[in-house]
Amino acid sequence: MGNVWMIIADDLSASSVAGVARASGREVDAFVFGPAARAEQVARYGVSSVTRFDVEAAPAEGFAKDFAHRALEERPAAVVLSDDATARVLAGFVAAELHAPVATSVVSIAFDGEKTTVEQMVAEDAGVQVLEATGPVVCVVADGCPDAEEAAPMTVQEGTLDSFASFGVVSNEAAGAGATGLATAERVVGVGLGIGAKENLAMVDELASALDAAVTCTLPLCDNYHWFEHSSVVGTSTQKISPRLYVACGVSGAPQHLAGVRGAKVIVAINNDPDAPIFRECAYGIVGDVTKVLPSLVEAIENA
Amino acid sequence: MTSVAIFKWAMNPHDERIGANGAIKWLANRPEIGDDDYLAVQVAKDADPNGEVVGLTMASGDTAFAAARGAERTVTVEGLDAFAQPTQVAAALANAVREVDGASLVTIGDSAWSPMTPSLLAAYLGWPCLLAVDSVVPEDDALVVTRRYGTGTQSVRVSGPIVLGVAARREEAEKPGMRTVLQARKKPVGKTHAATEGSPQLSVSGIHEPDARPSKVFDGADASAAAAQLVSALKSEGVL
Repeated sequence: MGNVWMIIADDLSASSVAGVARASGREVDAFVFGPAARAEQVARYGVSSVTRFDVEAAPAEGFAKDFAHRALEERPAAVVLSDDATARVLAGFVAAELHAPVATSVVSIAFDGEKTTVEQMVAEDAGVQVLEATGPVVCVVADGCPDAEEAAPMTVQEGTLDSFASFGVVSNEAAGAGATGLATAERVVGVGLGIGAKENLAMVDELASALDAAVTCTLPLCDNYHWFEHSSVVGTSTQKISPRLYVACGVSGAPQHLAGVRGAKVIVAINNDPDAPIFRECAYGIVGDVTKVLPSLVEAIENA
Repeated sequence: MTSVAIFKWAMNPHDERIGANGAIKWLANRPEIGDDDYLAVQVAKDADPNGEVVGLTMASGDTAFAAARGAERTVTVEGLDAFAQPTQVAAALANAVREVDGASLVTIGDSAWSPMTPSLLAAYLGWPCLLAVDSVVPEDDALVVTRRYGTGTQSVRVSGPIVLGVAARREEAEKPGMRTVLQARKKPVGKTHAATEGSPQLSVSGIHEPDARPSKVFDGADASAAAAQLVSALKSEGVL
């Protein structure tokens, strides 16, 4: 059987997708859709080859059929991707062409001859289900999987594919300033309803300043309280982030919000409810009144 | 234009549990209305305000959701349960779409509950697909589709049959009233059997507990002490 293919069409999750792909023990071929800088970064993840496709003028989704034909010719052992929208379209066509089953929330892939074994998180991460198939499996990797170790960079090859769709890019609109900062921030402070009053947001800003962090919020603080712009919200219906540190202040941990922050490497929770779901997701937590903990935390950081 | 708006097609993962026998069990056996479903119907209407919108659902029970939002009729797909895999659901939906005469647009919620189903549906139909769609505007004989792209948005002009995975940013602002829902229940509802023969599937060979997450929680009764412990831990992690 062939190599593992990874499809990369965003910057946030390439490293963890590569981590799962490489842990399978097979050689990894990376197919990158987007700017050259993205491909050059992926080339450092210990993959065997990197092929980049320029999608500035034509959306990558139009290449899906031709890309799937290539998969049929080369017969990858498995195809791994994040839940990025473009990558999912490409992978859907590959799955159809290979007549392959599909698994989501995947944390590991293993091979034994023609048998492919996949582990996926189930029941809201309460269990790991082991799935088997004969032949290739298309796998959407779970958020928060370990990153690939960096290695000597491979040479990036430029690829071309034919489009089967009548697509034409009309315009590209940049996001609001908040969203742009969140996407690239190494540290993010999140705030939820547990912050209490609007004047307490000043404490959150002080913590963000001490950490040199961006600030995000849960959906109710935007939609119901109008304390933040929509571009500052993180969650299922808005945007996902993957900073090195995420500090959740007064965030209970609703699934809608957690889906947007699970890509963070270290999650810290500060909440006065010890049974809040956020404490099942965090690496570190403080059970206490957020308005009392935040000033102490700022002081501790500044004295560190 | 005839559009198919798919609603109530994905299982809510909140209903997924691990039973006492170590196997997956579902608290519900049929799909629920998803956060994006209302917008899937709205986008189908926006694509051609004078066209026909057909609602398509995997659910049983009250199937008037799309009809109450403007669909002329509804088709229900029967025969799949909660354990159906994405390939089976997509195959069943694709076959149901093929049975709708003249359909050239499919709108479906780009649901986090089942993230691969919309693109599989497009692939099985052989139609192009765009996901994370915000809105659609008709322009001559084409559509201008605005979707989330990177950290911003991108507008793409598309023509010909297409599957659009729609992602709502907010809850539905104005839900249909009771009078509208009651009238919608009088609209035609057809049934079709889920045709999934030959769909590739994974077999379940076991289930186990996840590796214990190394979580460290400090008592905030003494805020200063807890903050100091946390900062020390974060320095050890290398994130400060």
